[in-house]
Amino acid sequence: MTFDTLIIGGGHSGLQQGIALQKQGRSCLIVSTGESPRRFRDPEWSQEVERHRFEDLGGFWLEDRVLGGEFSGTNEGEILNRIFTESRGEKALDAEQFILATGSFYSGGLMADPEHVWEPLFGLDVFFEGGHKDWVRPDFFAPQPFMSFGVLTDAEGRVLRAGRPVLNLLAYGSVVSSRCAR
Amino acid sequence: MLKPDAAKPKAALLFGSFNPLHEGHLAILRYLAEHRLADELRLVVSPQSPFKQGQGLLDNAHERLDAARAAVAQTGLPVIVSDVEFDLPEPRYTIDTLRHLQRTEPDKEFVLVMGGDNITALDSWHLADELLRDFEIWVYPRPGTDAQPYVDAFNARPCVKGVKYFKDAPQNNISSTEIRARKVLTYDVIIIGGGITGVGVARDCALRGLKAVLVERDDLTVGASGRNHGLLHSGARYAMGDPESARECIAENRILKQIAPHCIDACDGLFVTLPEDDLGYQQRFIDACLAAGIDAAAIDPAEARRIEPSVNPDLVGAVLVPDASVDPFRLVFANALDAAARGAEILSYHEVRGLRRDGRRVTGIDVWDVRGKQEKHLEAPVIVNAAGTWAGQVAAMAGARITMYPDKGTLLVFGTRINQLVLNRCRPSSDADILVPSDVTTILGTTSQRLEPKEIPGARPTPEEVDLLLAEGSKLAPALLQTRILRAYSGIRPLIALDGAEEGGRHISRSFVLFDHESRDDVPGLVTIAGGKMMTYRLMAERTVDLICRKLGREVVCTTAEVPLPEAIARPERFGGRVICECENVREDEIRYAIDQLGARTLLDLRRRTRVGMGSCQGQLCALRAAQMLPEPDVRGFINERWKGIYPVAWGEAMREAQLAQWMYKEQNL
Repeated sequence: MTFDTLIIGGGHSGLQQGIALQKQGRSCLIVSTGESPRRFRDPEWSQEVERHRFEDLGGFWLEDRVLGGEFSGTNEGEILNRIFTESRGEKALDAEQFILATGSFYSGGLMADPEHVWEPLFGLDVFFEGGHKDWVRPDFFAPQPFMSFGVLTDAEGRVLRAGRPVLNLLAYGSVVSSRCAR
Repeated sequence: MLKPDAAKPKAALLFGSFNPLHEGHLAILRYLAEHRLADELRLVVSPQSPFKQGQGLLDNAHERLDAARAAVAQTGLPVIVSDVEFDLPEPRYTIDTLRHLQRTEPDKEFVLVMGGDNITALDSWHLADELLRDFEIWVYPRPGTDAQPYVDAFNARPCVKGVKYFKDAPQNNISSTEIRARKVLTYDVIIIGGGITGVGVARDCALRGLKAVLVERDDLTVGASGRNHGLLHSGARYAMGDPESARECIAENRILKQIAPHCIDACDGLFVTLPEDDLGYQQRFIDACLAAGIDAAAIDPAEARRIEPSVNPDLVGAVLVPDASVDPFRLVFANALDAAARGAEILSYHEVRGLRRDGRRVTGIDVWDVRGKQEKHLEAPVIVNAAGTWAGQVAAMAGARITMYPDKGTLLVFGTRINQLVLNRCRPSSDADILVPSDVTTILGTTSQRLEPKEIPGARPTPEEVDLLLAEGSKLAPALLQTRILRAYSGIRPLIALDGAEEGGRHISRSFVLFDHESRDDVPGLVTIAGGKMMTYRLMAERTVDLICRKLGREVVCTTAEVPLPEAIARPERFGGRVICECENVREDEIRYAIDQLGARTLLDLRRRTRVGMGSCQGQLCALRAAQMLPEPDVRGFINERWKGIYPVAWGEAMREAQLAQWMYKEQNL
């Protein structure tokens, strides 16, 4: 079975994209670990309700953990050919278009050690500055630099990998640096 | 012109609680007597004033009555002190008492005497119209109130018998409320400081039958007592450099395990030698421990790895010692509760504003009751300065000089209990060489940095200290690097310079000092107990109270080494109700208990009494729930306080919590 779009992450952003694309007649697969935090800015939001909406529109839902992907290079940029998951092993998933909606630190879409911030699935380019001393402010209620960290995208919302755009991988939601968010 | 009624003799009545009767009252009685305005003067003592309940000096109504009688007798004025209200049923309104008197003494005419400050509110009195219609009212002036417009207004009304204003009567700038504020409360001992030392002294005093009061400007445990690594030393740490401290530690270690088992996890400890350390140090260390009376035994590295799997597997030597882990919050509250149960007063949120002096002698303190918003005056023949880091400031108020060396130590709390035994490096003391298991967490300490006094209020952990702690601490237990850090925190060691060493080559001790300022500085009445460690608080208290007893000539033997401490903070399984804090399993009933029995008013108070907010969510999930139950919900301050410990360690799992906190609290109007 093939899909037009494969969405990684079944939280607020992933479901929002999935529902919009299904309505446009594109066939979507969402790969989700099944856990999503509640959406803090919208307490009414329910992952379960939105997932049913998505499936009622013909979308497919797969509970699995994405481990990584296989890329190839072209002159214009990189192409994500397929992704590997925990339970499918060698049986990779492919699609024309991929969407990354894995969330930020809280959801594991971003990770940090004292010196680095990284995107764990594909090693995408991430915006962060300095070491952990520079990421925070002593006053909780002051703007906190780390809240702006996330993957970098080009003007079309395509993620970057070693400075080159990944032509068929868009990023949505809190995984994207607020500097690039549209 | 006032003329006594020829038909009926007039009895003028001055009502009040007279708590106490003061010169202002007597002045108006004297004025009425001298001007022969009434045939009879009576003070009607009310058994209680419904507006002043619980504020009285003389809480017993009969004491007030007797005191009023004695005061009147001294003046020689022809005044009857009446207890008529003592036998009247409640509620006792003035009109009821007047009616009662009319019935029982029909041949007299009763006049109500009141201050100009009372007439202003007369309309709100029970049956005020009836009172004005049937009884004459005499008003005497009170400072700050112009009663004339009120008097005129009442007299302009129909059916008013008459309100008379004795504008020329003497005004006395005094009130019972002010006198109560000036009243001095007396004790045998006043203790300044609500850390472990202060509560230890208070309990020891109470056990020896001394009437003690402890004042603390904030909450108990806010200083070093609540900000340490909770290590119950065996003394091994000090065996090489400070054998005296080592001997004190092992003796107290054994005593505390007996009297406070509920505060202690007797887990034992290991001193490990790593390949980079000098293994020759180990034998010298063991010899020093044994000489100090500490059971220390070398064990095989393989055996060390077996009993403590988290230890660095490359270790080349290990020594087993009787170190343990202690819950400092429990220990402080256990001492405070027991002291209070035995008659001591524990006044937290009472700030010392000044010392009361008689020449060079310190006779008492003026304190500001922060929550009650009033000044109080306490006196005692002995005042104990147990202010820890701030002991220098307290001594300075008395003109005595002691030099404190505040020293900042930063520690890290890890989200799981990594080690079962206390882990120490077997080498001369250095940064980050102690790892103490603390209930379900592990605490890594510490750094050491001398502070100037002005730096104390802003002392916080820095990211640099965190990096140092991790780099060194992970050599003891490599798993630290993979374990979530809950928070970082800093405490101030209240180190003190020994006498005779204050100039030049400063000798700073980890041991304690007890200064009798009478012999040291010619300041009788003041004693300072400072320095030392949580470990030796009981011994510090014993020595202090021994000195107090000698000063008071009341030699009573200390029993704190034998009498067990009560369980201050009851075990969670005893409490029911909704779970408020999942991480620490704190239920509704425990929070009520902390509010009602342990005096918690804010979230920070609650944390120190119940561990609310100290677990893996660091208060993010429970703060709002708990705040709803508290008299002073201070969510914003609480979250910022928790943030102080999170931001220096914001990476890995702590980063997730940091982000969650930002989402949850930032956009709310706190």
